[in-house]
Amino acid sequence: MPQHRLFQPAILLGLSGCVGRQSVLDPAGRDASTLLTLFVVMLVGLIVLWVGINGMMLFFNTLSTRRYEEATARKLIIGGGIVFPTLVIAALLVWGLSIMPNQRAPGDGLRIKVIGEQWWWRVEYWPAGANAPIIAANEFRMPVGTRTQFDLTSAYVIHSFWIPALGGQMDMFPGRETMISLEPLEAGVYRGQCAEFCGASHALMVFEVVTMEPDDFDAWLTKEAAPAVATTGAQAQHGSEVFLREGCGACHAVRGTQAIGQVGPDLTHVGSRESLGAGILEPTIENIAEWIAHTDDLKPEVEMPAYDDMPNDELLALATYLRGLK
Amino acid sequence: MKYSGTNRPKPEGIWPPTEEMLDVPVDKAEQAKREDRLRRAWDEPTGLAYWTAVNNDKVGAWYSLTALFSMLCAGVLALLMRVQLAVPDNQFLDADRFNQFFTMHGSAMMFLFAVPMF
Repeated sequence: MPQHRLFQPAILLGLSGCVGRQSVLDPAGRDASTLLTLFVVMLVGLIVLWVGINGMMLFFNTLSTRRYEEATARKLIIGGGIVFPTLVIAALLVWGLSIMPNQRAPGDGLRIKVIGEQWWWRVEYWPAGANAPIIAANEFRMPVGTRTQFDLTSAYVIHSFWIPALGGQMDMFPGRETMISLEPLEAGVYRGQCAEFCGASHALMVFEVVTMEPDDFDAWLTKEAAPAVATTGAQAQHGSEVFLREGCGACHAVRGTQAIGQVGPDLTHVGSRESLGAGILEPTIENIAEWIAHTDDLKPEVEMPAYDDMPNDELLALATYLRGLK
Repeated sequence: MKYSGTNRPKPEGIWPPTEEMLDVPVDKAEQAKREDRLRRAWDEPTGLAYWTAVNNDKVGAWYSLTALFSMLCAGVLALLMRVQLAVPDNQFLDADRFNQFFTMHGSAMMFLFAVPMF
């Protein structure tokens, strides 16, 4: 009995990759489910073949003591070594090609343009028939049940776009546009990340993905397209003044105010995002203040300067203001 | 001068040697001296001259050992990377150093170990 208790944690540790918001073994999208089916079929098939071949070798080399005719041996080798593999691999090829998720099937309407920056994600929502995009950053929301098209490119270096729960990766190249389309099947929050080494903070270039029912998504998109909500409360008001006084608007845009900078992530609705700093922090007021004061500690070599000489009360005011930009 | 083709030295005396000529026993001391000379011609060089050996078994062994040594060095880099990744938010290697480590690990493993060895 005590021995079983020792094994349990070890088994749980091994299975911890099987569920979760970033697991290819726990798909939430159509392409990811197809890939998982392909993986499981190949895994089972390979296990059967491995046991079979090793079993045969064990049998013929060790267990069986009778002599075999040359004709038997020839039939076994030609049948098992040439005909059987050809048939199995051909079947696997035909089946695999037929179910291969069409990662570049055109979307059903919504297009999201993504530009990889160092080290954050520039997002533009282009709903069907739109003339101008809705600009956001570091988080993606899409409707369940329809295929959303992602047009991917990059500013300086190669990144790669990957939402494991929804589908495969697609690289993002500067000067070139690649495309991937994803169809979520469940509403939920998932995690994606940059999958191509892009510099010092590549490991910290993460994003959240929120999949929503179509009606919820439409309502959200309308809110997201609107300019920044009005600030309420004295601290937030003070924070908005600090924001403009310190020149934050030179890099960060907040639609509806004087801040129109395009260098850094758009902050119009930063308060309603699931995470901060491209997926690396919980979006609490303390964390926002911590981020502004120590950007380079949290994200090595980041372009945003660290405002570590800003007095604490101004930092908190700024954080309150930004948290209120829902 | 060229010792092949038409410049072959002409054999002196009887050629090929007859059975009687071949049956004549060689003087033991002379035989020992000949063996000694032959062995010394093929001996491994000693001292610093060891490194001048051209026998490709020897050179091959040096080559493989060097590749193995490179593998061990790149392996040490991998172990240090594993230390960094062992626990979340570890500060053992900063981002820049980690990137240098995996770059060197990859380059050394491929070009100094895998390509020379395989």
